[in-house]
Amino acid sequence: MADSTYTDFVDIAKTGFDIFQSSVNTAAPYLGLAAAITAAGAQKTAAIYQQGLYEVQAIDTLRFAQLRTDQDQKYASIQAGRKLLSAERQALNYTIQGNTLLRGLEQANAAVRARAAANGIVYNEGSAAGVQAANVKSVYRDVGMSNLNALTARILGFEDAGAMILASKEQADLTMSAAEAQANQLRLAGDFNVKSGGLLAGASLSKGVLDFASTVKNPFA
Amino acid sequence: MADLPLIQSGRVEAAGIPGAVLPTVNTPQVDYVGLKAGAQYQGTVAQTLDRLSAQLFGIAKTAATEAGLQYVADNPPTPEQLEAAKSGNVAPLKLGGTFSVYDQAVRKARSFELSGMFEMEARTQMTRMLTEVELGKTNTEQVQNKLSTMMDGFSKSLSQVDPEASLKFRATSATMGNTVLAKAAEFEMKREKANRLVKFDVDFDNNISLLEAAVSQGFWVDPRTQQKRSIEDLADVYRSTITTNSLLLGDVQVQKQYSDKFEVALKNAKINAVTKHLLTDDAAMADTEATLKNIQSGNVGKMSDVVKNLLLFDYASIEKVSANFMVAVNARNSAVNTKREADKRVNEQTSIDLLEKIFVLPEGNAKRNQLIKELTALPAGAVPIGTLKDLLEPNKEGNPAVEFNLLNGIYNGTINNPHEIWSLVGKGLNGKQAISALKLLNSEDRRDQADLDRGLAKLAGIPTTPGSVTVLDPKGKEFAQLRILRADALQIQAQAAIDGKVLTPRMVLQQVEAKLEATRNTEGAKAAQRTLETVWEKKAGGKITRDSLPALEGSKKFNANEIKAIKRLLDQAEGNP
Repeated sequence: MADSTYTDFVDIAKTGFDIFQSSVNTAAPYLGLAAAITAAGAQKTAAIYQQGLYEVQAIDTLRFAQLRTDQDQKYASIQAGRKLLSAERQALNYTIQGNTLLRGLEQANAAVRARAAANGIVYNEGSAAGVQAANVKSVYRDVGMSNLNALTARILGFEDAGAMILASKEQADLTMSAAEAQANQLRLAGDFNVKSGGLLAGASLSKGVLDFASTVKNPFA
Repeated sequence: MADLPLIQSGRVEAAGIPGAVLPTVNTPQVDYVGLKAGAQYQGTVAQTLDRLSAQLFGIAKTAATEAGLQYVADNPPTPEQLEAAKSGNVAPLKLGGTFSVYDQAVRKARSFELSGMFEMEARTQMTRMLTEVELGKTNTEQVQNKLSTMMDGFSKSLSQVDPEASLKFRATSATMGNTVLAKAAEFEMKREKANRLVKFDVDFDNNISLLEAAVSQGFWVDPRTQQKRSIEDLADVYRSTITTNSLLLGDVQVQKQYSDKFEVALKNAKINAVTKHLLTDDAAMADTEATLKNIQSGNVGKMSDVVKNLLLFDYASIEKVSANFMVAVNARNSAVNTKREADKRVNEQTSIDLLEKIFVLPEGNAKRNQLIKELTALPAGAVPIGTLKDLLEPNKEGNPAVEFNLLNGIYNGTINNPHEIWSLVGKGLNGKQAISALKLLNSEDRRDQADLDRGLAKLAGIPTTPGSVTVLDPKGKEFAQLRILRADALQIQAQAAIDGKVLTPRMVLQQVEAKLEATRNTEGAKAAQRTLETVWEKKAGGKITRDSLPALEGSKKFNANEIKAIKRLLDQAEGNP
C-alpha cells in the first residue's frame, strides 16, 4: 500500500515536471523577445537619464564659472586700487625728497653768502656767487631726479593697476568661455548618449527579434 | 679763502624700476566629454553594426551551409563520379571554389560522402588482404605496399575536396591499416615460427627414433673411441642438442615442452625396449615369476644396464615394465583361451549338425553308424559323453513342459549356456528337443521365434509370464494343443516356403489364430460358450477364461467336478479337441 502511494506520487511529480519543462520550452522564445524589448526600453531610458545628468552638470558649470569670474574681478579691482594708492604714496615721498633737497640748497647758499659777507667778500659776486650757482645746479639735478622718480612711481602704479584689471577681465572671459565650452560638451555628450542608447536599444531589439525568429516554433503552422 | 659749502649732486638716485606685475591668466581646462561621447557613440555604432552584421552573416552562413548540404543530399554522387574520384579525378563532382560558404559546405558534405565510401572500400580491401594473409597468400611487405598505395590514392583524391577530411581519412585508415599490418606480421611470424617448429619437430622425431634404436640395443658404441657407453651418455648428447635447437626457436615454453617430451620419450623408449626384450625372450615368458624377480634385480640380459638405471632413478618405469610384461602374458593366455572357446563352439556346432543328420536315419543304418563314429571322434567337450546315449535315442518321449520352460528360458535369457541344455538331456529332454534348443540358443535373433512360440502357447491356453516357470501337466490338453498349433504353424511356414512367400511370425500366428477361430465358431463351440456364460459365469460372478481358471480352482465356489466341467466347456469353446 505504501509502495503504491509512493509510486503514484513519483508518477504525478514526473508528469508535473514534464508539463513544466514543456511549458518553459514553448514559452522561452516569447519570454526572450519580451526581455529584449524591455532591455531596449531600459537602454533608451538610461540614455535619457544620462543626458539629464549632463544637462545639470552643464548648468552648474556655467553658474559656478559666472560666480568665480565675478569674484575674481572684484578682487582684481581692489588690488588695482591698492596698487594706485601705493604708487601715489611713493611719488609723494619723492616730492618730499625734492623739497628737502631744496631746503638744503637754501641753507647751503645762505651759508655761502653769510661766509662771504663775513669775510668781506661780495656774496653775489665772485666765487661766492659761483659756489651758489654750482649748488643750485647740483641740487636741481637731484631734484629733477626725484621728480622723475615720483613720475615713474605714478606711471608704474597705473600700469600695474591697469594690468591687474585687464588680467582679471581676461581671466573672466576665459573662464566663462571655458565654462560655456564645457557646458556645450556636456550637452553634446548628452545628445550622443541619447543617440547611443537609442542605437543600442535598436540593436538589442533587433537581436531579440532575430533570436526569437530563429527559436520560436511557428504557432500557425 | 674760507671754505664755502659746496653741494655735490648725485645724492638722489634714479629709483629702481620694479618688475612689472604679471597677473596670471589661467586657461581653464575643458573636458571634451561631448567629443569623447561622440567618438564613443561612433564606436558603439560600429560595434553594434559589427555585431548585427556578424549575426546576420552568421544566419546567412548557416543558411548557405544548409543549402550546400541540402544540395549534396539531394544530388548524391553518381557511380561515374565516384569511380572518377577513386582514381583521383574530382572534377566531375563540380565542387566550385573554396571561398564561398556554400561551396565550402558542398565540399565538406562531398568529403563526408567520399570519405565514407573510401573507408568502406578500404575496409573491403583490408578484409580481403587479411583473408589473404590468413591464407598465407601474401606477406607483410606486400600488405604494407598495398595499404600505402591505397591510402595515398584515396587521401590524395580526398584532399582535393577537403584537406581536413583527407587527414581524418588518413588517420582512420592508418588505424585500420595498422591492425591489418599487425595481423599480417603476426600471421607471418606465426607461420615462420610454425615452419621452424615443424622442422624442429621432425628433427626431434628423428632424434627420438635414433635414440629408441640405440636404447633397444641396451648400450651405445662411441664411433670415436669404439667403446661401449651407457644409454644415459647418449641421452645427454641428444638432450643437449634438443635444448639448444629448441632455444633457437626463441620460445621458452617450446623448450620446456620439448625437454619434457624428450624425457617422456626417453622413458618410454627404455620401457618399450625392456618390454620388447622380455616379450621376445621365450625363457622370460615361460617363467613369469622368475622374470618379475629378474626385473627387480636388474638381471634382464642386454637390457640390464638400462633396467639398473631405472631401478636407481625411475622406479615407476620398472613398475610400468612389469605391468606391460604381465599384460602381455595375460593377453597371450587370453588368446589361448579364446581360441579354445572358439574351437569348442565349432565342435558343438559340428556335433549338432551330426546329430540332426543322425536323427533322420534309422537305427542300424550304416550312414548313421558312420555319423555316430564321427560324433564320438569329436574333441572332448563337444558333446558331453554322459548324454551321448540319451541323445542317440531321439524317439524317446520328451517332457513338453520341460521343453516349453527351456525354450522360455532361452527366450528370456535365463538360459544362455549349452551345458544347461546338455544337463537336461535324459531328464525330460530327448535328443531332438535338445538339438532344437541348442540351435535356438546358437541362433542370432530369437525374438521373432519367441513371439511366435509365445503366441502359440497363449492360443493353446498355457500361461506365459516372462521369468516364471510354467507348471502344467505335461500330458495335459494344453501341451497337446500346443503341439497341434506348432504343427499348424510349421505347415503354414512350409506351404509359404513352397509358394515362395515370406511370412513373419506374426503373419503365421494370425493364420493359426484364424484357423483356430474357425474351429471355435462351430455350433458345438458356440453352445459351450453360451453354457459358460449363462450358467457358470453367473455363479463365478465374472468372466471365465483360461487365465482366470486357476483362481476359480483355488476358490470354494466350485467343486472339483464343476471345475472339470468348466474346463471341458472351455476346451469346446476354444475348439480344442
